[in-house]
Amino acid sequence: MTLLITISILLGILVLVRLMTIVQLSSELTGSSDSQEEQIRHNNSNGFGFIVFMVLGLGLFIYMTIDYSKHLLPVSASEHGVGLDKLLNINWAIIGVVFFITQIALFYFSYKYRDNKKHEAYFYPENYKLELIWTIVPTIVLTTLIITGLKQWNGIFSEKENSMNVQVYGYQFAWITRYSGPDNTLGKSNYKLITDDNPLGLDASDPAVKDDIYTTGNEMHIPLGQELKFQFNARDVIHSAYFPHFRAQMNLVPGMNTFFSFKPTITTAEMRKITGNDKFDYVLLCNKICGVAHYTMKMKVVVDTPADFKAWLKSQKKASEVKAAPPVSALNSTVKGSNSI
Amino acid sequence: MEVKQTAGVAVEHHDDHTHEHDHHETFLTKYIFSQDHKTIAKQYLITAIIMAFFGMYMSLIFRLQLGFPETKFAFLESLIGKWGKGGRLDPGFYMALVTIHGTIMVFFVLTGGLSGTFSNLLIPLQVGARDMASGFLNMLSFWFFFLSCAVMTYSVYIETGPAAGGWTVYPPLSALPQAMPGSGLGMTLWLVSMVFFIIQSLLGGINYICTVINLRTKGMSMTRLPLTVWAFFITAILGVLTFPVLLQRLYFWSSTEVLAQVFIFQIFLLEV
Ligand SMILES: [Cu+2]
Repeated sequence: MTLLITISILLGILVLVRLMTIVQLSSELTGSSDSQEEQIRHNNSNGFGFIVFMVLGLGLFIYMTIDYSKHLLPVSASEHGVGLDKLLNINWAIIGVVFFITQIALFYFSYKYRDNKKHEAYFYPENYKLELIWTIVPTIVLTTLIITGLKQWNGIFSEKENSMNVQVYGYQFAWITRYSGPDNTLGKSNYKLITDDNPLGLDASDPAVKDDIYTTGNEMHIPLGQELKFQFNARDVIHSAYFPHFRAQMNLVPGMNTFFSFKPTITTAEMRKITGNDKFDYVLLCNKICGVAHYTMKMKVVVDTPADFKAWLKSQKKASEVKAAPPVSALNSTVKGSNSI
Repeated sequence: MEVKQTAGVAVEHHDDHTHEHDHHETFLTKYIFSQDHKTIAKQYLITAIIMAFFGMYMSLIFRLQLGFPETKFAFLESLIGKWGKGGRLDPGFYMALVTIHGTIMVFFVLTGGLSGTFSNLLIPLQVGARDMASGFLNMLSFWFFFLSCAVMTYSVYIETGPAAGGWTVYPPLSALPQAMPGSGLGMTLWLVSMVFFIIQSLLGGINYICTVINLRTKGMSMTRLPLTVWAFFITAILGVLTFPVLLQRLYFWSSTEVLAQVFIFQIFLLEV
């Protein structure tokens, strides 16, 4: 097989070389005998082609924008997402208008000013006023957009009051979510303590660990209207936690804490009504290639009313069930044997 | 008389040849190891187009999988062997295809192919220079590009599969064979190929910068340069500024992978 492919590639190269020589020879033989009329005919057909291309291209653009809009994400289910969506829409509107103006100008002028001996080329090297206008206007528009975006960004990453601390922990190829419990503090963890019974490597000697609760299934719940501060950690390689419906994404980097805060505003039940899809579910996806089964790294996210959330939390695993850590000297010897990264 | 005349013609002819060195070239120096910027531009173009087809063929395979996830394509098994068992694309090889497709398109087609082809072809023509500042470096640059393409293509056919951690090759996924099989030999070959690629990019870039600065024709001031040349010039400067950093990182990374055993062995000897 490899041999066949190699031979076909070599033959392909040979064919290309032969073609090159043929083209070279034929151009030497024919020479340049294009008459003026022939050139004008050529320009006319090319000019017409530009118009056809413009109409087809812009038509397809409009058609696809409308037809594919049904695949867009539903309305944002988080507080900050509404602002982000608005900013994105403003961006689209500006880009769309500029796109149409420039494309129409590009193709129409190519058609209109083609060389057909009816008008002569006009040498027009510079116009400072025009250049100033098309430099300053985009500068102002872009600066405004960037400043608005920066404001949004600062809003998203500002410290919020009364937020609940939640850890999102990723590893090849699944997620675990840990809730900080009544003390709202995520207890210490250490990768050296990771075992089958203690997938997060929780340090049982830390009192803050005692009331932590973590998920064992492939489903996480979050309470409606509660500001959530997510802390992201990875066990092995870089992952990326992507909550598309909440307009949130953050990388998980091994050995680092990263954060993202959002407040869910629409429950799963309400969103099912909005989308008209009984089976709709929010998801948490891994959005960074993290290995062979990256595509399976997916968790169902359910937005509950606070009461339902409390009830669900009781069904999850309590960190107090994790056994206390062995003494440090014993720890070192176990670390060597374990194959955690 | 006749003899004299022919002799005279012959001498004249000979004189012509001493003035124009380019005439007496063998196939090897004219088409293979050429130092002429136009030929080198064509070499870049052809190589990049072949690589582009290679990349496109990969994207066809993985997009078939994306578009028809439930369908079995019997031809896949004969085409890619164990990676397409039963007509289903292996998930690991899907990643590998995406990675190598991305690498080929970003580096070999967009960076190498476009810059190598059009900078080489247009810079001397548009600034009014006979050729690039150094024809030899230019030739070397193309052959490093070719070598880089060859190593990258080869890496697709090894048993553990090519690099598969995405074309951005974020460690630790791309650095540890435990994280995914492609991060072993496949990743090493990827790194070696990229080291060659960056060498070609640097040689080319230095050449483009020198040509634009030093070899402009009389009256062609920097402010009169065509915008295309300005674009090539800035591209070359950016490449020369950024690629050495990447080269250093890739070089150390690849040398730790390739030479690790040698060094460890030496350290072992010293300690004993
Ligand atoms: Cu992942």
